[in-house]
Amino acid sequence: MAKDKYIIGLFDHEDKLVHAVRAFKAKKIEVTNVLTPFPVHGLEHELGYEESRLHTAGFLFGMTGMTLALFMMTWVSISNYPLNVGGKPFFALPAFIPITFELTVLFAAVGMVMVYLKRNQLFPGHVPRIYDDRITDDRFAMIFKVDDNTTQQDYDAIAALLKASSVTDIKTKEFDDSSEMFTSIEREFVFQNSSVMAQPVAEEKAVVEEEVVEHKIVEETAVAEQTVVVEKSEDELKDQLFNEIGVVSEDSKDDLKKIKGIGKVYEGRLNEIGIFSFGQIAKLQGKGIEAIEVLTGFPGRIQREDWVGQAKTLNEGGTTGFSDKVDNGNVY
Amino acid sequence: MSHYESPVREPLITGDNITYTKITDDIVRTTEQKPPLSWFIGFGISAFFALVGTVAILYTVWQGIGVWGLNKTVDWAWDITNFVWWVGIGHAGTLISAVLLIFRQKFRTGINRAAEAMTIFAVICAAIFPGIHMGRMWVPFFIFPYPNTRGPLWVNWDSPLLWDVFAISTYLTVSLLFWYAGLMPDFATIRDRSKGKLRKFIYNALSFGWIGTAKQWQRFESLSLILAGLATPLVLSVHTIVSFDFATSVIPGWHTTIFPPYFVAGAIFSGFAMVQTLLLITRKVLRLENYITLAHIESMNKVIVLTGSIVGVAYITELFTAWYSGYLFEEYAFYNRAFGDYWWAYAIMMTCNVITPQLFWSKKIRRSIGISFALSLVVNVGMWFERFVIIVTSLHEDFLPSSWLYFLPTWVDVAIYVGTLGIFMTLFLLFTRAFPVIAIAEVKSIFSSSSALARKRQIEENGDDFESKYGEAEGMKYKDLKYNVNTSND
Repeated sequence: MAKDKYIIGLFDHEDKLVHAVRAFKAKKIEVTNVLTPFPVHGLEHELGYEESRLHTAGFLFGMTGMTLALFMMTWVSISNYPLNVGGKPFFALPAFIPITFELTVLFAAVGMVMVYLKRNQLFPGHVPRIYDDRITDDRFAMIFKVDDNTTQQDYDAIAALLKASSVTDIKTKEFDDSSEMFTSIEREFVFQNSSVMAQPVAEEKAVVEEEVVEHKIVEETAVAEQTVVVEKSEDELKDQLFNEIGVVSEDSKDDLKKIKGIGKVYEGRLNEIGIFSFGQIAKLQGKGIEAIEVLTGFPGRIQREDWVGQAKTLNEGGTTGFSDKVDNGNVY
Repeated sequence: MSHYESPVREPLITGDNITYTKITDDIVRTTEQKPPLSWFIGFGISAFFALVGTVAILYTVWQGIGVWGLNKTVDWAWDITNFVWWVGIGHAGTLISAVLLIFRQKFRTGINRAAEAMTIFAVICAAIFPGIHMGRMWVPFFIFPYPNTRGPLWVNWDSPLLWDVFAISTYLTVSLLFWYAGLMPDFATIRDRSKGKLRKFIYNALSFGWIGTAKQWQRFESLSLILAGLATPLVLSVHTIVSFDFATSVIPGWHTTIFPPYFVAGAIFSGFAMVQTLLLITRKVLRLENYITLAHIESMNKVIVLTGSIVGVAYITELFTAWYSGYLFEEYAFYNRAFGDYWWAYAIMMTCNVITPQLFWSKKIRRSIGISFALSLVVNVGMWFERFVIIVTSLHEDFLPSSWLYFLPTWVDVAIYVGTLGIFMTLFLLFTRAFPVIAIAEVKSIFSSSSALARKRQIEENGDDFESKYGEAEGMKYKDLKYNVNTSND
C-alpha cells in the first residue's frame, strides 16, 4: 500500500507563482510539480521544461495518413479495380489530392490527440490525485513530495521560502492507494524523522494552522514590509547582526542542529550568513533576530522555539532533552 | 505572466467585481442550477420539432424519396440545400477556434466553446441529408471504401461526392477532438466544485482525470496550436469540396471556378450569423454579459460584413462572367435566376446577403444588440435561399424546354428541414445545461491582460500622463477610454 505525502503551497495569482518558482530555483530546492487553473505563459521556461514533441508525432501520423491514402487509391485505381472513365489515366493524381489531404489531417489529428492523452495520463475513468479543490478554480499550486528523509526543518525551509514568495496557504496532504475515490484521501501527517516526532498530531496541525493565520496578517501588511526590506540592504542587515553577536570563524563551528527547530537545511542557511556557534545565537536580541528573519525569510520561529535559551544552555556545556537525542543519533 | 496589451484596446471581460472564482461561478452556475422555465419551454418546442422531423425521416425511409417534391428536372432540391446550409453553418466554430487562435485574436476565448458545439451539432444535422437522400438509406456504409464481397467493388476516387464523404467525416472528427481537448480542463473545474459523489464521478470521467499540471498545460497549448494549424486548411477544404459537388458538373450556373472561395466565404458568413444568433440569446438567458461583451458582438459583426461583402462581389462576378462568356446557356441560366420563375428567391437572397449586412458599416448598428440579432437571422434566411437559388434555378429549366417544371416542396421536405432545426436546438439546449458554455480556462488566461479591471489598473498606473502617452500615439482620448472601461452592456 503506497502512501505519498506532499507539501502544497497555494498562490492566488499567476505572477506570484512564477515569482516563487524563480525563488525556489535560486535556492536549488526541487519543486515536484506546479499546477494551475489555466495555461500560464512562460511557466514552462521557468521550470526548464523542454519543448513538447507533439508536433513531431503529428507530422509522423500525418505522413502515415498521406502514404496510406495515396497507396490505397493508386492500388485500387491501377490494379484492383481499374475503371475506365472516358479514356482518362487510371492514375489521376490531381483527383487524389482532396482525399489525400483529408486523410493526412485526419491521421495527424487523431494520432496526436492519442499521444497527448497517453502522455498526459488522461483517459475516462482515471482517478487523479486532487491536491486542492481550488486548483482548477483560482489557486496556483506548487507541490513538494515528502519522503522518509524529509525533516521538519526541510518543511520549515520550504514554508519559509513559500511565505517569502507571498503564498496564500500552505498545507500538507497524504494520499493512500486504498482510499475510497475522492473521499478520505486527505490527512495531515507528521514527518517520520522529524524533531517533533514525539509530539501529538494535533499540535503539529496547530502549528501549521497558526502559521497560516499568521501569514494572512503578514500578507495584509506585505507591501509595507517589502519596502522595509528594500530600504535595508542585505549588507546593512548583516552589519547590524554581527555588531550584536560578534563574528566567529568556521573553525569553531558547533552542531547547530542540537537546537530544537534547526535542521540540516536551516543550519546550512545560518552558516551561509555567517552564524556558526551557540555563542552567537545565545547573544541574539531583538534586532538580530529581526535581521535573521529577514535574511532567511522566516518569521517567528526563533522566539517561539526559544533558540536563544537553548543556545545559552548548550554554550555553557549543558544539555537539553533534544540535544541528548541528537547525541544518541536518534534524530539525524 | 500576463502579456502587455495596449490600454486603448476594448476590454473583453467587463464588470468591476470579477475574480477567477467569479468567472468559474458565473460559467459553471448554469450546470448546477435547475433550469428556468424558459429553458423547459424552449426544450419542449425543440424536442417537438425534432420528433416531427424524425417521423418525416422515417416516413421517407418507408416510402422512398418520392414523397419529396422532386420532379423530372429538379432531382436534388431541399435535401442538398439543407445539407449545404448546415455544413456552411458548421464552419464558424472551427474557424473561430482555429483561425482566430493562429491570429491571436483574444475575442475568440469568450465565444469559441459555444461556436464549436454549434459546429458539431450543425455537421450532425448536415450528415442526416446525404444519409437519406441517396435512395437506399439502409446501406449508407456503401459510401465508404472497405473490402467487400461485391467484387470487390470500390468507390470512385475521382468523384467529388466521395471527397465530400472524407471531408465531412474528417471535419466532424477533428472538430470534435478540438472541442473535447478544450473541454477536459473545464470539466475538471466542474468536478472539483461538485458536492455529490455521482456528479463528481461523472465529471471526472468526462474530464479524463485532468489536474492541470504545468506539463499538461504545455502539451495542451502545443496540441491546440497544431490542431489549429491543421484545422485551418481543413475548414477551407470542406466547403471547397462541397462546392466541387456542383462545380465539377457541366450544368450551366454550377460549372464555375469561382465556387470554392465563394462557398467558403458564404459558409463563414452564415456560420458567424448563426453563432451571433445563439450567443445573443445565451448571454442574455444565462447572464453572461460580462464574458460575451459588446466587443465580441462587434467583432463578429465585422466578420459578417466582410464575408457578406465577399459573397456580394461573388454574385456580381458570376453575373458578369455569364454575360462576358458569350455562352447562351450560361447567360440564360443567370437571366433566369434573376428574372425567371424564381425571381423572388433571388431577390430575397440579394437583399438578405448583400444589402442588409452593409448596415454593419455603422458602429452604432454593430453595437446594437437588437439589430445584430435581427440581421443575424436575416443572413441565415438569405444564405438558405442562396443555396436554394443555386440548386433549383439551375436545374428546373434544363436543356429541353418540354421538361421545364416548377419545383414545390411537400410537407415531408418542410418537416425534415424543420426537424433538423429542432434536433439542432435540442442538442444546443442540452449543451447549455451540462457543459460550460464558455471556455473557463481560456477566459481566465486573458483576465490579467484584457479585462476592464486590467484597463483600470493601467489607467491608474499611468495617471495624468495617460492622455499624452496614449492619446496622440494611438488616436484615443482619455474620455473614450473611460467610456470603454465603464461601458456596461444592455
